[in-house]
Amino acid sequence: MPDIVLKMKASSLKVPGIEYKQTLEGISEYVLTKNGLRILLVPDSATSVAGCMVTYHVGSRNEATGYTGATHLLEHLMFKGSKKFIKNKGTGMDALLENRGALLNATTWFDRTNYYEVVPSESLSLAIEIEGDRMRTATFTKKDKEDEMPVVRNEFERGENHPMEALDKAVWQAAFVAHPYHHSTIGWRSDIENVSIERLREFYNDFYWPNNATVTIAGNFDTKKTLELIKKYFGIHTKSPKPFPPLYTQEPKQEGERRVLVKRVGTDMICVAHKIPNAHHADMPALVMLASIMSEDKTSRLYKTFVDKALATNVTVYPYQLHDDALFLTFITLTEKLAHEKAEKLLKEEYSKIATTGVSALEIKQAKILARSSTAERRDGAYALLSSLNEEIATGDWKRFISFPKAYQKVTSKDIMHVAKKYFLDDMSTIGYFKNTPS
Amino acid sequence: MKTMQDNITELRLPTGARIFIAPTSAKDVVTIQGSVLGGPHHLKGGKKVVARLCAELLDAGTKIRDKYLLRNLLAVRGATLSFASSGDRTFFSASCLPEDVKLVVTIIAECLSQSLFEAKELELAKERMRGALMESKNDTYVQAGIGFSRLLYENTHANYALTTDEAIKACKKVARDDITSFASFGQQGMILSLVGDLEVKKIKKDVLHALKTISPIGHTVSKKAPHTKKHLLTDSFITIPDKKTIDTFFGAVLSIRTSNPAYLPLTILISMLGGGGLSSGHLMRTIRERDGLTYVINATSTGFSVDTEGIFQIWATFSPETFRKAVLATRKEILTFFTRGITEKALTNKQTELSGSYLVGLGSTLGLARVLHKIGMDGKPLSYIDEYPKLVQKITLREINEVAQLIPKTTFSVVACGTIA
Repeated sequence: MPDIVLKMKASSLKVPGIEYKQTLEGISEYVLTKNGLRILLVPDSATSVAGCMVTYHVGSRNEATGYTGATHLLEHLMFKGSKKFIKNKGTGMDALLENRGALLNATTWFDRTNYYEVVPSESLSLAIEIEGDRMRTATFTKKDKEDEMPVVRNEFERGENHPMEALDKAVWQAAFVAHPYHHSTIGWRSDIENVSIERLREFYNDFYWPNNATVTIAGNFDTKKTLELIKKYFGIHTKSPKPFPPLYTQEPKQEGERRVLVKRVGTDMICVAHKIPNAHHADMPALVMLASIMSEDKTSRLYKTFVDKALATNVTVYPYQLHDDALFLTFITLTEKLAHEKAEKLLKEEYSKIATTGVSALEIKQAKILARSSTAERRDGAYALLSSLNEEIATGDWKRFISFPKAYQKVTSKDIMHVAKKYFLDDMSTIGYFKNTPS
Repeated sequence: MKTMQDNITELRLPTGARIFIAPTSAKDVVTIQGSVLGGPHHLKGGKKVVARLCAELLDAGTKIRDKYLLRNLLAVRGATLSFASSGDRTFFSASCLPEDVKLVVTIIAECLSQSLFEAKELELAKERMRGALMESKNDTYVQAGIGFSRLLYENTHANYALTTDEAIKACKKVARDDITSFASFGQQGMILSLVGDLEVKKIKKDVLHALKTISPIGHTVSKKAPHTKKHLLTDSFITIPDKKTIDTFFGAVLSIRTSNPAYLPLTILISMLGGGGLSSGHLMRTIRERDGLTYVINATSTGFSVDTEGIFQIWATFSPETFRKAVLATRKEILTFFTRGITEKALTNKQTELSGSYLVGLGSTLGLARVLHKIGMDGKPLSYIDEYPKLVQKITLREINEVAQLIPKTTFSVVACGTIA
């Protein structure tokens, strides 16, 4: 549906207590005025499913020593029950939804926690009701926490089995000494084991409020009825009684290269990390394009340098786009032909080339056309749309979903050289080696 | 009422190829899934690695274009293409903008029919494969899976896995002739599904034209030795040091194939025991939720096809500290399920769930493309896309109980890999 038609339709819907804000490229924004809940609706009448997602602005950046991993553990406990949905009465939320074929789960990341359900459209109201109820009436107990802790600990252990995850944790930990991006979302094992139910309850009461959340609905649904349902199930909550705990810790300037070594049975690999700004910084589109040029496919620079010559089995670049300043990570999984030190040298030479000679017009063209495909893929089905919007909501402004692809299309070779010179500095880097070391 | 089938065009070519074209409301996205006959099942022993190397080399240069030109041609259009192999087939997966479908299908056909398999590229592919295999030697999931397959199948069975060391050794020996003689892909048995922002009439013409370069005849379905190994309860532990969790497989080979009428009830039964999702499977509700012994436990059917038996398999990760307790608890819960868990209510719930999740799964171009490809591989008519939920609904408790009798639930073997406490 063209935006102008959708806008007219969306703005003319009168649901008392819900204020229409704007429509941008098929996404209409509303606010539940009583409690500040943001609502995003993305209708698609051609499908027979609909998705509901609640994104809370709370993640591992809101944790500190002693309760690292609390956001994630709490996410697990949010399935234990709420006032209306009680497992031992046969109305457990996951069973009710899964019995209708729902794809449901929740995820936790640095800046956010999200809960989602993709369901046949006729079950959307149940999903909204469940999310509305557990926002403020989750009933998890000390026993629930004790039962769930080993489950989460096993999730932690699974990650530790993978060399890349172990190295990734070590690199973030070295790169950030003050900011809570220092620790991973899963948290430290001892915190997972020992955090108290009181601390988790406090965490829930600090952050799980409508004015710290966005409800997104995508797929086939009746807009007016859906807004009424959201009002009915989320409108019963007040806004938070006190301000959300602020994160005032800032990462001090890094004054020299940092190095970490993980010696364990696994796979030889290196990771080179550089500090980059937050998702909304003007340099971010160029950094994301640089990542694409370096590793997106078999024509990328690092693929040709490492994988095509069988010096590595895999090269991956992650330009983290987060709420706060983050990292640009390059992982290389080595074959026997390449030593760690040599891989690091080759990689640094590749980034140095970008800073001195830039990238070609063809590389820019490729990155831009690839972005057109990936932008379209973000709308390929309700789940894809919800999960893509989720990451933009987490950065603090959902409209980045619209603005970022546009900014990306304006990136020039000069911009790429500029970011390579500005951020790919040895003194701002953290180098990690994973060395396969039999015990 | 309009059915899903009404929106899909199927072309059945005289060569035996089946092409599905499904326009959807997706904008600027076309997803392509397909396969041709010719995979590791066509090869014996160590030669099975030839299929994997061949798939990796398919886009490494053709008689028409070198690898740089070929890959750039896709990249400048934002298109992706990859090849892989397993079972009887070599698979391809692609995505592109609507205006590039003709080109992408042309390149797929070119790779399948005119790849050069240059000696220098083969040597590089072998080195990469060796690297990946060395990496997998320390992967608990991979090693437990290999051990499980070798324990349950006899070494003549198509699904019997090579050890990683055997695969490394075999990889070293592969010569260019091995690849070229294997890579005789044809249209016979080919499946191609195209889903998304498509105009059927145009795509039909473009695809038919592009496929002309592929020979009508290629591999046929390989002949397989039937499963004859007697099942015995055997537990095995593979040690890899420094691992924090233990990958654990339980199960047994079932002597039925996907063409057997018992297969659909079997898949429903498996989902009742250990379906994906948070709590729709009995084992997630008990071993994870009630006992806290794992983060994930699920049951699946693996290795089954129209002409191969497969494994009724349960997989979980357990903490080293509670490993023995978890294995015992899982064995006990499997028996509890088979004695008390198969009820009319549990079946009805599962039927509703599967019908709903089927619909949800079709909600993206990739989901629909995969289902169409599977329909093609299984030799089902296109109408199956609408019939599947109805067939699920028709399954009775009696059929579920009958298929349950085929499962040696008291003697499931266990293979685990990790570091024991």
